[in-house]
Amino acid sequence: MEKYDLIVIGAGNGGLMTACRASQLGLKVLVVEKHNLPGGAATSFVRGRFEFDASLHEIPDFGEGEARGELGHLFDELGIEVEMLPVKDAFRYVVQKDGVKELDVTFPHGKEKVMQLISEICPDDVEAMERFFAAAKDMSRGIGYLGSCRGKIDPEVLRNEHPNFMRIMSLSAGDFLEALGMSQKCIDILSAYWPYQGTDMYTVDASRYLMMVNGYFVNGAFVPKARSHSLSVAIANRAAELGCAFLYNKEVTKVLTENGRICGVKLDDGRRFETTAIASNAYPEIVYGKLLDDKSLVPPFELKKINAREYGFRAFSVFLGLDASPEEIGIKDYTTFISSTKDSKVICEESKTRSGKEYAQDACCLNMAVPDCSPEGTTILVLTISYTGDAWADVSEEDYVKAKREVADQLIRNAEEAMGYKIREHIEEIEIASPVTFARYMGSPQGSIYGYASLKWDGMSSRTLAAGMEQTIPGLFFVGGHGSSLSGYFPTYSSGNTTAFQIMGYVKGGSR
Amino acid sequence: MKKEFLESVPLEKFAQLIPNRRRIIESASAEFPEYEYNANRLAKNLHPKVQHTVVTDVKELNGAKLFTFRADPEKGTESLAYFQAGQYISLELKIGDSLLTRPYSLCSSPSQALKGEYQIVVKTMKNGFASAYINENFAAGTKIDISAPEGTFCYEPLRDAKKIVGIAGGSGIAPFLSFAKAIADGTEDFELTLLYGSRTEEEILFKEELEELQNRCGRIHVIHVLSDEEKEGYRHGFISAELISEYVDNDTSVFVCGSQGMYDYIWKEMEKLGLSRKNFRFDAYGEYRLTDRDAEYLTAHQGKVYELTVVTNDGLTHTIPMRCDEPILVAIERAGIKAPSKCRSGECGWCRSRLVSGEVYTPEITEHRRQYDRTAGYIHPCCSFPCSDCKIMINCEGLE
Repeated sequence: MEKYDLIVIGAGNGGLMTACRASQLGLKVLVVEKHNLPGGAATSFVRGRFEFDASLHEIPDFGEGEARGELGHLFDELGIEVEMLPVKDAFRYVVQKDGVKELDVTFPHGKEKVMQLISEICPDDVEAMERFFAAAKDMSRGIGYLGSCRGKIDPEVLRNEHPNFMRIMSLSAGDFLEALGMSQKCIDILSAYWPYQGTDMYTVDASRYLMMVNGYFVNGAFVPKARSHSLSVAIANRAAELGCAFLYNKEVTKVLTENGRICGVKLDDGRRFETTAIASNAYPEIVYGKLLDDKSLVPPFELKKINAREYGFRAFSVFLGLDASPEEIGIKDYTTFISSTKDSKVICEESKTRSGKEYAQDACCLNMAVPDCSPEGTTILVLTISYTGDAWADVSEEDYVKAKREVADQLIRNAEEAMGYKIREHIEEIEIASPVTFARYMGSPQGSIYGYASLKWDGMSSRTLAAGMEQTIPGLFFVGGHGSSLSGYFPTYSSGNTTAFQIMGYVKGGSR
Repeated sequence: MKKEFLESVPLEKFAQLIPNRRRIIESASAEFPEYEYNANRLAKNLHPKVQHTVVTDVKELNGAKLFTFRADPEKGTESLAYFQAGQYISLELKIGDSLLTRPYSLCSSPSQALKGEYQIVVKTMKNGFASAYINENFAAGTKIDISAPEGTFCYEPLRDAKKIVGIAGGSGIAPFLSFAKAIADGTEDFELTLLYGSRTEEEILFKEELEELQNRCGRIHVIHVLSDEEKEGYRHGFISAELISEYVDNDTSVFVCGSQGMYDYIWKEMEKLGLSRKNFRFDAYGEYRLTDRDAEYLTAHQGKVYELTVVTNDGLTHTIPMRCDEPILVAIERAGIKAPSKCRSGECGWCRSRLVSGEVYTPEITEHRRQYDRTAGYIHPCCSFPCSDCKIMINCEGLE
């Protein structure tokens, strides 16, 4: 039986980055992935002349040159090479209901340009916006302090040197923007990104929202030239260069323990491997409920936590290969948020079902960042909405395709009506992915791609502070969207990297 | 509150974050979650990893056989997955020492799947390795493992016109029979005009069945085109641009399924018609056979046999010969290695493998690799031909 220091279950973003870092630290690592290629949701697929990204819209904190962000540095440090291209503007945000346009604003990247725009459209909010950027700095310093404490936070230092960090940590994104003294109009505009976090502005933590928005505004956004598949393969190949082994088309069917600690795994082909630690990109309920050999080892607190939690966004995307240029379709922007209302609470409530009466959808045109992503005279456009509940629970096998099509039809209609795009007559290829599709390829409960919902008590603030305090089974670590840093490309890469160091400590510290 | 902006927020709230988190978690149940995830159940039912089936009926047709499959509960498959008309299944076969797959379009209606059966039609091809084996050996009671329904040769109202002209050659009739049945029983909603090419009247497959569907449903029209026979009631010749244009207008989508030779011919004819690309769709190509188009490759490599080193999932290395006139996948299968594959046309990507060393040729028409894979050394062995000795890894990168 072969012996590893670490076995990674699942080659999603979290699993891949943990594997890559752990290999770089000298651990002997094996990744087991049930699909035939790495990436999980970070992958792509080909239909006719088009290659679509399964999930990625844009990545913050990558940056280039002097504005190289944290993620860019992480890739550099690990020697992962991927060709990335910048996205010009942050977003266009259009709110329209029954033909009446309430809002239509295009937000740029770069702090100076943002301030310029604010001075034009919300002149009374210039100072509040300055406070926003100042708060982002306070936030970042505070996170830096927490990271340096190694679990031993000095309340005095925190109070004296990081009071604003403490305040931001305790607020929701909506309350935070209000506290800055922003006008409602400015708050509405800055709320455009809320779907990227999967909960409404008064539920999602200010800490998470601020860091993300600031990341986009200051360092801009980037996309890989050859879809997220290139990111996943590049990380996997770098890990392999560093000695990591990969098994694809194989599933872990048992997690084995000995004396209350992780000691190995069993695969679907019957093979067993010994290991000191496991990093699971699969959800805790799957490890505890299905894979673990001795269920009595699961701490009751962990089970309670699973039961207290809710799942994050379940995405629905319509992938369109259009036989006309973006210009002919009428597309000028990379990311357009199209909503029926500015009120994220209303939309979150509505998107528990498939009614679609109130919606927040995202239209992402890859050609605006990667002009040659499809043949000349064609366009790749992806329309996405998300569900906050198990909205596909009542669909039968027989009705599934029809149900998907109905929602896709609605998304196309919304985009045509709000933006004046000419989509329908140009559809050369169409693929529709529902939460069922994500469940199929990733195995995540209900097809959630956002891990657990960022609830008020379970957002970035409380998860960050609780990190390391909530024990699983010795040797078992969780990475991915359900991990401590929440979902998204940057958070899952970042937490995968951090977790690898914890695993290193566990493995080298005599498994303590 | 707005008086001092952020400073007005009390610091005490911070101290409550962890106690509040603990309180909420502690008040939840400590039972193992027993919830069955609906999206996951649906995904599993629609896309099972494998379907264990048993042949329940074999019907002789002219130069072909119609096979009916049902689920095999003895081996753990309780029911067959639902599908969309136009999709195919991939059969797992063991012929001699070869372990291989073959894709066959389902010719039955999706509603038949709800009643527990799939049907495929297998024509005995000249030099047809698998088809001859199937037709000689499959009988009622034969157990066979098949894939979940796959493929995108389906009607999509958001993309396609309400009127479809189907062009079928020989056993390429299979997906259209499924379409026609699905229209007749209300599963699909479009008008189908079928131009069905056969050599002679005698070789027409499902003649009575198509006639019956046409009589029963006004939205199905069948036009038989015979190439080798002039007969009353049949069109004569090939399915040319001229003939197609009689049935195609601005509001028509054209679907094509047949042999590689027919695809080459129809492709040229379609260019004459000047239809936009969105308006015609070809079913998966089937196993590619090198032709004049590949002259450059053939000139350089015809008749050669190269050495292929395969590293498999168990870490073992196998060295086998591979011929230049067949895809690399075939060489692997012949060596008794169970390589993953489904469509065998380059499309589905299931055989995606890492080319560690060596050079391969991928005919343009079968090129469906991801952009990054093309530059990063990944190939689809089902449509890659060797240009040198090669080494590939089958779904196990790094385990050498």
